[in-house]
Amino acid sequence: MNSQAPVMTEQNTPNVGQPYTRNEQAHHDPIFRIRDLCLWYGKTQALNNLNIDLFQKNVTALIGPSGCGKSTFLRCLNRMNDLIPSVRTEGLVEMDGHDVNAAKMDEVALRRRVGMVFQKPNPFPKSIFENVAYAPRMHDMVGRKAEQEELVEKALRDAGLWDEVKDKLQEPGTSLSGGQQQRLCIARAIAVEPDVILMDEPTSALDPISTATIEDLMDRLKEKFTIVTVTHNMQQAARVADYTAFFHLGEIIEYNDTKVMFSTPAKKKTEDYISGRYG
Amino acid sequence: MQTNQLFLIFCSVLLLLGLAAFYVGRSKATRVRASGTSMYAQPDQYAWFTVVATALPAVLVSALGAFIMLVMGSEIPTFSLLLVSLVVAVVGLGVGMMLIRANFHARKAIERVIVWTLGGAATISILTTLGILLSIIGEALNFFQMHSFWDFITGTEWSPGNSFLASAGRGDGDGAQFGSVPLFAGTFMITAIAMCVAVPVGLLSAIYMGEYAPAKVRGVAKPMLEILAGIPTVVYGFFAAITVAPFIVRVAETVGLDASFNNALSPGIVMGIMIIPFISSLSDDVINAVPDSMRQGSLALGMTKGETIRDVVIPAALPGIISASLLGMSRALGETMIVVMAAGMRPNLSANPLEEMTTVTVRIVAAMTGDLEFDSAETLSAFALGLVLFAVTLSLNLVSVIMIRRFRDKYRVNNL
Amino acid sequence: MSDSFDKISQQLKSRHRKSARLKYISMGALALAAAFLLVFFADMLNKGLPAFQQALVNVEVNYTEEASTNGRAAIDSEIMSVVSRSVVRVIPLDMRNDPDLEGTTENRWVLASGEVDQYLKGNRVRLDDEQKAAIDQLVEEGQVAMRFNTTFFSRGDSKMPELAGIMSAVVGTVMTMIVTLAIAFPIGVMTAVYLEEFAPDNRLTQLIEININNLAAIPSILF
Repeated sequence: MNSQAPVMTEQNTPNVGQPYTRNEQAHHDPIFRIRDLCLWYGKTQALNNLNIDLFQKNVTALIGPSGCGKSTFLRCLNRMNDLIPSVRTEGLVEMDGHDVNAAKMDEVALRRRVGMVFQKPNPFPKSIFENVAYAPRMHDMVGRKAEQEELVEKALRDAGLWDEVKDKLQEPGTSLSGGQQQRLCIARAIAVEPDVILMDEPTSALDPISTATIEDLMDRLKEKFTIVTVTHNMQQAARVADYTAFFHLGEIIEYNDTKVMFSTPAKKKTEDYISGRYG
Repeated sequence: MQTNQLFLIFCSVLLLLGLAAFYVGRSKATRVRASGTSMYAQPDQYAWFTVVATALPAVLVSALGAFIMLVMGSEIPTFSLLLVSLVVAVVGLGVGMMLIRANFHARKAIERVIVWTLGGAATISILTTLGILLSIIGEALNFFQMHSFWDFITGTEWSPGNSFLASAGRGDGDGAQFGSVPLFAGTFMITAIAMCVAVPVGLLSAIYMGEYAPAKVRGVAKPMLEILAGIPTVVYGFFAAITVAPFIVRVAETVGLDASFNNALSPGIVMGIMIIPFISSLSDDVINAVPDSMRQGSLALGMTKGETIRDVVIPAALPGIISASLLGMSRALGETMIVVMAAGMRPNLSANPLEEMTTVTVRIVAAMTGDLEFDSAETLSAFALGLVLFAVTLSLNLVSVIMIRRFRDKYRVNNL
Repeated sequence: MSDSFDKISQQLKSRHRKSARLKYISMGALALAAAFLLVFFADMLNKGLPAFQQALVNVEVNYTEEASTNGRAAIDSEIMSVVSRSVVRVIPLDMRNDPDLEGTTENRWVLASGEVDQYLKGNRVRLDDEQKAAIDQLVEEGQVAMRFNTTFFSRGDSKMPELAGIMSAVVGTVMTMIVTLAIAFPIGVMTAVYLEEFAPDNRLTQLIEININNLAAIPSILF
């Protein structure tokens, strides 16, 4: 961390929602546009005027200390916060040009296009095959048995799990190890062919080998899907993400090219966090 | 002297001894303490220990004596028994006093006594079950000496015939058939009807209360269902016999069918209503126990709430739901009052719920409250029926307990 | 990559409908249970409330010497058909309790006969039209009236339906309950404390727990 890095002046701030520095290898079509997003849990404000554009086919990492609103923000993107009765939001969350919180937006339809992988693997009490095939079948994506089998195999291959489970597809999903269960959850999210996959600290409950496997996965998946991941692990962000956003106390302090953020961050707060001055 | 007077004197002497023990024990403990040695407990606790050492052996000895008198039938004159107990009490007092030394853990000793007392209370449940079993098995075996077990289990004709004549000394009880199949068929038919009412209503109510209902509705609905559980079965039986049965007869008539006033449908439906709270509250518990992460995982895939409930939550809760149904079923099998009041007296092997038929429990009541001699085959048949009923409900309960335990383990193991 | 929102929402229509159906069916089940409860209570009240009232007759009672052995003699034979047979014993009892009554006359309300009581409550009776008319007349004159049924709460079993009450049954129930509580409460609490605080997690404890579950499930007839 270069402590003599130039700090951005007011005149050098980027346009609304744009990162400070562009990553030339990454894509730049925004799939999510967030403007002035605020969120309250009852009377406590958790998110404060967020502005960010999330780009397609990238891996975007959200980092920051605990309790700063990263997961809350993530859940805004697929309206999982609706499940919490005390939540109130204001502001714009736009996906593919549609206002996600509008009255005519069906949140079930939204979640078909914006999938989620949770921190603790939560496979269904069904067989491995059924875990993956259930949602696509309900969405009328596949019909006959042969189509289902094809789709399940493809999803499991893409998730890097096929070789390990191809002989035991009828075993219950809960019989797998932790890392395998998480890859199963990723496979089942992929099978629905969403546009975006949200990952809420997907590897924090896993061992290092499973973590490495899933990080490789993220790298491969970004060719087809947009990935937004919350992580506590800065090294992980540095390894996998094209863009990184730094959250602090419900605000986005900095949104930048990952390599730039970790070498010459634009804001002092970011630098303090990255260099470990507070956690 | 009369026994109750003796008993009163015994109790008062014991009380006095206990009081004496308390003060003597405490004074000795204080003396020991005052002489400079440090003790492991307060003087009061030593005092209580002395009391226990005095009273407990006495109570145990007299209880043991009474028990022996009961079981073995031997005659121990009450006076000597109580005198011996008092002597034991005095000995206990002396022993207790001797034990009050500096290095004696009075607290631990008292605590051990308490633990044993509590454990004894817990084993009373086992003793009760044993007691019931023994009283039934004894008489049931008597019955099976008179009539073959195989015929009892598989026979389709229940006509005690003129066995009552035999017990009156006339005739020889020939031709009496004790095939219990019609009785069990009646029981199962009524139970099946009850389950058909209770399981859908109970399970769906649980789903609504657990997944959809706002807190206020849930706060009203749960107590309301508890009320259903609290109504005395005798009142349910009354309702079944006086209101539901004539209603069914009338409805059947308008449709052109013939229904008896003692039809099986009426107690079946009312029993189902009675069991609804069992099933709904147990199902509610297991549905809430399904971890929320599973629901979120399903919703995040773009499933609707109804699909999530149907395809994820209920299959996850299924072992618990089945177990709840089995418990409800065992309750229905053993229900006595409703069927006594609303069902018929005639054993009838039939698939038509509009006919009158009788059940195992009704037969037991009739046999036990009838005018027959106790040793007659007909009365003893009640014990045989009771034994089989006990075995069936016991196995249902065991299966359901095992299922619930496995269900709980499954969800605890899934944490990483 | 995936379908647009409009296309997805189209497919979702029938799924949303089915989902709503589950919600309404489960709500209906709860409503059905509530309806059972309501019907039950309404029926019980309907059948039970009339019992809280009792028909009484206002008659002139002559506390003669003959009446101290046969209560019937104290009442005019014409109206006797309407009065309950219980007066045969009630009046001598009153006279024994209060010797000053002998020789006096008073108007008092006594129990009407069971047939009158049932007729006035609208149930089937074995009275012919002439008797019914006579009773109606008495009601109009105010000599027969319905009052709160204190007999129900103060008297025990009886051969005469108008004199029957639940007192003896209540006493029996209360005494049984006292004994039950005296046994169940201490043993139950002690067992619970033991199982929760002291018992080691071994086979014996599991056996005790299974046993307790079974005790609750044993058909009451076997007890």
